[in-house]
Parts: sequence; C-alpha cells; structure tokens
Amino acid sequence: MGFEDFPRVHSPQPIKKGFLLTAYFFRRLLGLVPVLLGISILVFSFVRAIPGDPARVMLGERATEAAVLQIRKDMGLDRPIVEQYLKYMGGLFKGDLGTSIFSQIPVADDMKRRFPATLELSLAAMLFALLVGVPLGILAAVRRNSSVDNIAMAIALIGVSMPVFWLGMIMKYIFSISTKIFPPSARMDDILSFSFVPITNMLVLDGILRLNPAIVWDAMLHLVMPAVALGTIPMAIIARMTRSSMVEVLSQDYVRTAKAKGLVQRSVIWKHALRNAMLPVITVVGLSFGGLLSGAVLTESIFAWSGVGSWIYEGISQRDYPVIQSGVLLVSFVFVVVNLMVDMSYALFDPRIQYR
Amino acid sequence: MLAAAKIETPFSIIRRRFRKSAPGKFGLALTILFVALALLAPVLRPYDASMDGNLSEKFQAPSVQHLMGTDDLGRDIAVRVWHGAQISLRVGVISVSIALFIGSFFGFLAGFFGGWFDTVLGWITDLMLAFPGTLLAIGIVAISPKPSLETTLLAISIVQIPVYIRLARGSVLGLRDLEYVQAANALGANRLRVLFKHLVPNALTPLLVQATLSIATATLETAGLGFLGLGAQPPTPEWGTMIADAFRGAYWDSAPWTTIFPGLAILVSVLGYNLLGDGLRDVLDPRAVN
Repeated sequence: MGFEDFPRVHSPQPIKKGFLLTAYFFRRLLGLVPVLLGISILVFSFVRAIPGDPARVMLGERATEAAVLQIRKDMGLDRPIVEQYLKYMGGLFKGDLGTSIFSQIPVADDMKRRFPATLELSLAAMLFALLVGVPLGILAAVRRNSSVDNIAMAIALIGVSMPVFWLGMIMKYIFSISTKIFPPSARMDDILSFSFVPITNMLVLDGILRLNPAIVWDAMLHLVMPAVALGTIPMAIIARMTRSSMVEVLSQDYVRTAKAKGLVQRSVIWKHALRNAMLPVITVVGLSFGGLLSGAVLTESIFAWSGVGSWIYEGISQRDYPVIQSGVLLVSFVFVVVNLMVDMSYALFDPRIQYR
Repeated sequence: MLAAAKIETPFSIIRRRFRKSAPGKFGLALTILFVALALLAPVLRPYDASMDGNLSEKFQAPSVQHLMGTDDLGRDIAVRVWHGAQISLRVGVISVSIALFIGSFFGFLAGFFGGWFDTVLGWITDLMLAFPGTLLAIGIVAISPKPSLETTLLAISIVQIPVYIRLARGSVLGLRDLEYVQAANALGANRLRVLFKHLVPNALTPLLVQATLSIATATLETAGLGFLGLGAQPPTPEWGTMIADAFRGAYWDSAPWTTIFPGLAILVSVLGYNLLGDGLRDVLDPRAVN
C-alpha cells in the first residue's frame, strides 16, 4: 500500500511533512559525522602542537635520554602522526581514552566521575537562568517602557557584562566568608562524603536515589553559588531575548484579537503570547550551553568543583595531553550535539520552517 | 511638504536617532571616559609595573592616599587599575580589528563569489564554531610556547574570525542580487570593483555593531584568560591577572579591595561597550522604527 491508496479527503500535507521532518533529522545526524571527525582531528593536532615533550614532562628534567626514548616508544609517540591518530580513534570507540600522564588514572574513569559534576552544575545554572530570565523578560515586555522594564533590562545588561569569576568570588565573600550561609567550595561536606557512595555522581540526584535528604540538602547548598555565578550570563541573555520576542508577539493581530475578545491579560500573556515567544528563547538556551561549558572552566576553579572545566584547566597547566584531548573533545561533542538538538526542536516546534 | 523637508544625509539621520537612544548615549559617555583614562594614563602618571611597590604599605584599605587600597606588595590598586584600562583597551581594539578585517574580507569574498571557496570556508567556520569560544581561546593559548598578552590577543582574535565571516557573507548575499548591483555588472564593472566599491560599504553596518559588542566579549575573555594564568603575566596590571594574584595569593578575602576594584573596572568598561553596541544597533538597524 503506497501513499496513493490513502483517501485524498484528508490533506496529504501531514504525511509529507512528517516524512520530510524525519528525512531532515536524519540528514542533520549524518551531517554531524564530518563535523565530529573534523573536531577530533583538530583537537588531536592541537594537543600535539602544545610545546613540551609529554615523555619529558612525565619523567622530569633530569631523566636520561634513553629513558625518555623508552617512554616515547611505550606511549607510541615515535609512530607517525596518522598512525597515532588512528590508534587514538580506535581506542575512543572502545571507550579507551588513554591514561593521565600526571595521575596515571585512566582518562575514561576521570571523565565518568567529572562529567556528571559539570552536567549537574550546568543544568542547575540553566535552571536558574530560565527561572529568573524568562519572568524578567516577560515582566519587561508587558510593562514596556516603564521603570520596571528599565530596571529589568539594567539587570540583564549588567548580567551580560559580568566577569563570571569575579562574581563568584564576590558571592563567596558575602555568602560564605562574611555570613556563612553557603559552603565556600567543593561539592559536598567532607564528613558526609566519607559514608556516601555516589551512583551517577550528580549528587543531588544521588541523594534522592539513595533516599537521603541530608545529602540532597547538602549537595544543593553547595550547588547554589556556583550555579548562580555560571548562570548569570545566560540569565541575562534569556531575559533580553524573552523581552524582545515577547514585545514582537504582543504587537501581533492574534494577540489583539484575544484581548478584544475580553480575555484577561494573564491568560493572553501566558496562554497565547508566551508559547510563540519562547521559540527564539529555546535557541538561546541551546547556544548558551557552549558558554556554560567554557564558563565552567572559570567557575569550577573558583569553587573547587571537580568537574570537566577544572579538569581541562589542570590538564593544561600540567601538560597532561590525554586529559586535555579528551576533555576538549568531550566539551565540543556535547556542544555540537546540543546545538543540533536545538535546531531539531526548532524544526519540530515551528510549523513555518521548511526542510529541504 | 517635500520642499520644506530638510535634506538629510545618512549621517545626520544616524546622529539624530542616536541622540534619542538613552542607553547609546550612556554607553558612549562611559566608553569615551574609559578611552580617555586609558590614553591619559601614561601621560599623567607614568608607571613601571616591575618597579612599583612599597612593602611598608602593603594591604592598606582604601583611603584618601590610596583610593582603592594597596596589594600584597604595597602597590597602589588605583594606579594599577587605571593602567589596566590601557591594556584592556589595546587588547580589545586590536584583537577585534584583526578579526573584523580578516573575517569580513574572507566573508565578503565567499558571499560574493560562492562556489568551492564558499563551501570550504563554510566548513572551516562550522568547525571553529563547533568549539565554545573561550575553550578555543584556551586551546590556542595552550599551544603557544609561553602565555603572554600577545598570545591572548591572538587567541581572542582567532576565536572571533568565524563570526565575522558569517556576518559579512550573509550581508553580501543579501545585497548581491539587488538592481543597483546588477546595473553595475551590466555596465561592465570589474567584479572586484563591484564587490568593494558597491557592496562592501552597504554591508558594513552589522559588522560595526558586532565589532562594538565584540570588544565587550574580548575584554571579558582577556580577563578570563588572565585569571586562569594563561594571559598577561604578573606584574602586568591586567585586571584578570590582578584578581588571579589576589585569589592564588589567598589574600583576596582578607583584603577584598584587591579583587573588588579590578573586577568593577572590567564590569563597567564591558557595560559601556555593550550599551554603546546596543545603541548603535538600534540606530543602524534598517528595520528599527524611525
């Protein structure tokens, strides 16, 4: 039974559209392959270009030439660069990312431990950004050109101009050193962490899974300041985007019609306008993830948060090639995939978009 | 009616609109103040960072003598923040100019000629934009032999290039098929002449707005790299490096003024650029309500 067999009474449009959408998603997924390959080649050659011989770094300045040569051989550094790359990629598919030069721990183990930490932080930061940014933007748009609007947009403007690491330090000074409301650093209280075995290493989630409210509370307390610091810039961007998008939607005919029908303003804003105004905001949320991941390098180093950001930073300062390589690859992969998901969600939510 | 209308040049329209933009004016004032401070620093108060410091005056809280207090080596924070303005401005302007020039040059060519050049450039921009900006900058700094202000400048510049390629390409694509361009082509004008004489001047607006906003990003990134120890090195009075000194020297909490003031300087200068950029965009955006 082909498409022709369906009765023509129902418009054929939905079928065609669904098919086009699937084809579009599939093509985008395929398009991911060259980008990811490109990233891996770029990162690989980048890391090889970092000055300093890893074997030399590992053994120290006073090592004999023979020992350095032996290590280079063991690490495969004497092989041609293409062979090294292929070997690395082969390992990657088997989940083998090499061993940290500095700690001698398999990189994959470190990554499994650190990635959830950064994911938890980024999600919390994004939650903060949305919970503050969206209402701020709506408020500004609804009370356009009033003092509420001006204040909201001033907050947003200061937010986008904020040096994240400085904000983190100021918050730490006010809320940990002066008033002791929040713990200054780390992800969990030392005493609690002795007896606690994480599952996913997203500690709030783990606390819930283990039905341990003390852990949940403690992990959340530790999460607040880093998340607010990291989420400030996305919050500001989201607030600005929500405002301009909302202003545009509110001036459209269908909103005027809804108002003319006598609907209460709350219903017009929340039911009719917001849904359409959120489309550009989704894009901003997705694009901000890249900023979150790189902002994590700064935030994590302020709050001693043992995530991917501080991992990459330590890797660079210790010339730990396998760590840098895997860390940067991970972040870029996540970034690319999130961007793709945003594009797809856009195509899914906005019926005006054509896929070719 | 028509006779009574004053002849308006594009420039006077822009000026008139800009005067109505409160954020734009405020941003312009902040930026001018900041640029003036930066330019006057070496004239009014010559300063050699490596010779500075008076250990008998270390860790003094802000006072009339030292408006922003002193740091661990007894250096006057106010003087250092002031001279930091010069560094910040230099890195911002130079890095953005390089990115603007290189990026838009290639973007214009790609948008105008299309073909394989456009395709290849598209791949390269996609690839570069596949890395979060700061991370790419960190990566570029990491492969340089020694972290310094110059490598920071270069890294920040490279990171911004793809943005300008995209923008320039986009704006040329939008103009390429307009009638006046077709007319120039029909008159037998040289292709490159059409591009640089007729298209580029009309495609510059979004690039200039972006450049103002990019200086804001560049300033934040310079400070961020400085804070990570990957940018300017002590004793250079770069703001991020100053905060890093205080943080790693573990005196930022006992002498918070060592951190507060350089950070405020970053915040205020970036705020100025952002306001100015917003104002310019409102004014120059052709869709904006007159």
